[in-house]
Amino acid sequence: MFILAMTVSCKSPKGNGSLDMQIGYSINEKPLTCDTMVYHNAAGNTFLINEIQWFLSNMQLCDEQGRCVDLGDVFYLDTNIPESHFLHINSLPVGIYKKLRFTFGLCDADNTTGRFSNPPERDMFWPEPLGGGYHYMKLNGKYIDNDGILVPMNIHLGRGQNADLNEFYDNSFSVEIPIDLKITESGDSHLTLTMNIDNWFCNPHVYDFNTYGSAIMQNQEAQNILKENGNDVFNATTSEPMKTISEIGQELFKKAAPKPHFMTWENFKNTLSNITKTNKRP
Amino acid sequence: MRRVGIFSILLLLVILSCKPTGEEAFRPTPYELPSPLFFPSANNIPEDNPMTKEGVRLGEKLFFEDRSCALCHHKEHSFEFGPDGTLEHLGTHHTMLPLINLAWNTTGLGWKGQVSTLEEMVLAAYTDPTEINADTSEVVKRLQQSEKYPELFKKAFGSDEITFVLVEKAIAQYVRSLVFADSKFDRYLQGEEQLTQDELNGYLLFTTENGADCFHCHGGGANALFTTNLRYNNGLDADSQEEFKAPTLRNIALTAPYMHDGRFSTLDEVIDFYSEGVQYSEQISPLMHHVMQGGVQLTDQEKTQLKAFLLTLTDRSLLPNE
Repeated sequence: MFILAMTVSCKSPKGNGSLDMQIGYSINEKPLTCDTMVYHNAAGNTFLINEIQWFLSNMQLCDEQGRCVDLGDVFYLDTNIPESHFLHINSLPVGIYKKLRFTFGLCDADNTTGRFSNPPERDMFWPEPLGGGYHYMKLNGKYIDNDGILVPMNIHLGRGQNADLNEFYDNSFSVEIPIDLKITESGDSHLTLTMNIDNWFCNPHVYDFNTYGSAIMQNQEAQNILKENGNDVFNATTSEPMKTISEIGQELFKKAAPKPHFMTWENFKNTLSNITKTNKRP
Repeated sequence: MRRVGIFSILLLLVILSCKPTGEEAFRPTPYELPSPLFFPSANNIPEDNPMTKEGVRLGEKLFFEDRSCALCHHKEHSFEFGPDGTLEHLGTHHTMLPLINLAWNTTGLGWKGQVSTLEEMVLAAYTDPTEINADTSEVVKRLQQSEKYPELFKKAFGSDEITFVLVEKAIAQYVRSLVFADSKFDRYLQGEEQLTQDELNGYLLFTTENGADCFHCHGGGANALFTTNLRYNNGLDADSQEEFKAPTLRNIALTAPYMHDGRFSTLDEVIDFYSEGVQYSEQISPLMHHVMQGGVQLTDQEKTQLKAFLLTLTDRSLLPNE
């Protein structure tokens, strides 16, 4: 114990190591497949996801004594850019780390308009009248509404505001996940951070797309529900082997074989066609 | 030993400073692309075609040559054809996209983003049977035989031997130099000019999801290009499966007709479409979340305000006087 304490308290007495980190998504207990797979949430909504774009910031690894190492200021993750989900972090002090800590989105101090001048980060901008800065996350997809029609669905999280657009709220939140990560000089350490999409829509609040509609940038109630639901959205593990970009690409981009208990896109469209025959759209 | 080292360096500097014998060193003047507020720092200038003042000047002359780009890209209409630029009139497969701030378009050119570089776009326009429809070898031959062009190419590229690749490069440089960032809205962003209340209300509508919700695809504020340069299915037709590039809204008042097929001849028609004419399809962009109401449902007053804001994006600084 004493040796361990010495290890983490001294400034890398045994040198530095590196960390390979992968960010992934799970939904309905399977890896996310964009565009083609059909999912269900706690409210009973049936939906698909086209893309997820989000910011993760102020990421740190902390040891048992609470001393933390910065892993980077801001990371932009985008399911349209598979390589954005692989981070290689150098110069980490060798040691054992017990906590992964980060901010989901960008806290107010970091969320300044004009911070990102180039796409794709630039295109996350959150308009000045709504508080400025950047979207924390854009989760775009479609769901079947109460009339049985496949309609757009946007879970866009960012700075909240009151109805008069003169008071704004920081909806970013801190995430702390217990881990047991050993950084060694051999550099074969890895960490997988997973966003469990199901949990955005439950615990403590069941989030129903029919209630909150397709657009929530100006709905602080919905923003707050998702912020509170964010408490258990993320988990991390050091035990799973790293996937290649190609493998994660397969998961994210339509190539994964449909799972038996999921409805395929073709089946989904057939079902939808039957539904819409009896529900004339406006 | 140290003296030998210093002497060697001095000798090398002397050698490098000498002009090549029998030929004047080629040193064109670098062209500095401006960096307007909230414009990207990343651009699409290729490593093998850096912008130079001589290159831009040559490109401009080529652009306005007979049977060249200006045949259809009229300067007085913000480098587009003008209100008559319909598919029927032009005989093309698509309407023009604005030649505005293209130096910062890093996601492909054309309505489908199908052309990678401006250089390629020049070649495509010259050879397309529905556009210039020229024989590039004849173009080169004509330029080579002219009195002025060999010298201009030499100044721009260091050689008076003209090739079509150099024609592409020069015109691409000129098009990249077409920077539009001096509209009333730009001056508002810089605190130099105030918008009217209607214009401000229009900007509020433009940038709010519960308003006209234009910003997700057309930028604004922190994206001063007024486009993401990405493609979307915006619900033009029922069951449409096609995606088209969101054009910049800068100089939108000058660039009718609108949409890839020029179906709308006025800005009012475009606003009406997004307000109540959006068509449902399964493939519609998820960002078109007002589709089930047929659009964003603006009142007449809101339409007027939105249009008032869009008119603040007009920049005539590179255009002839009205």
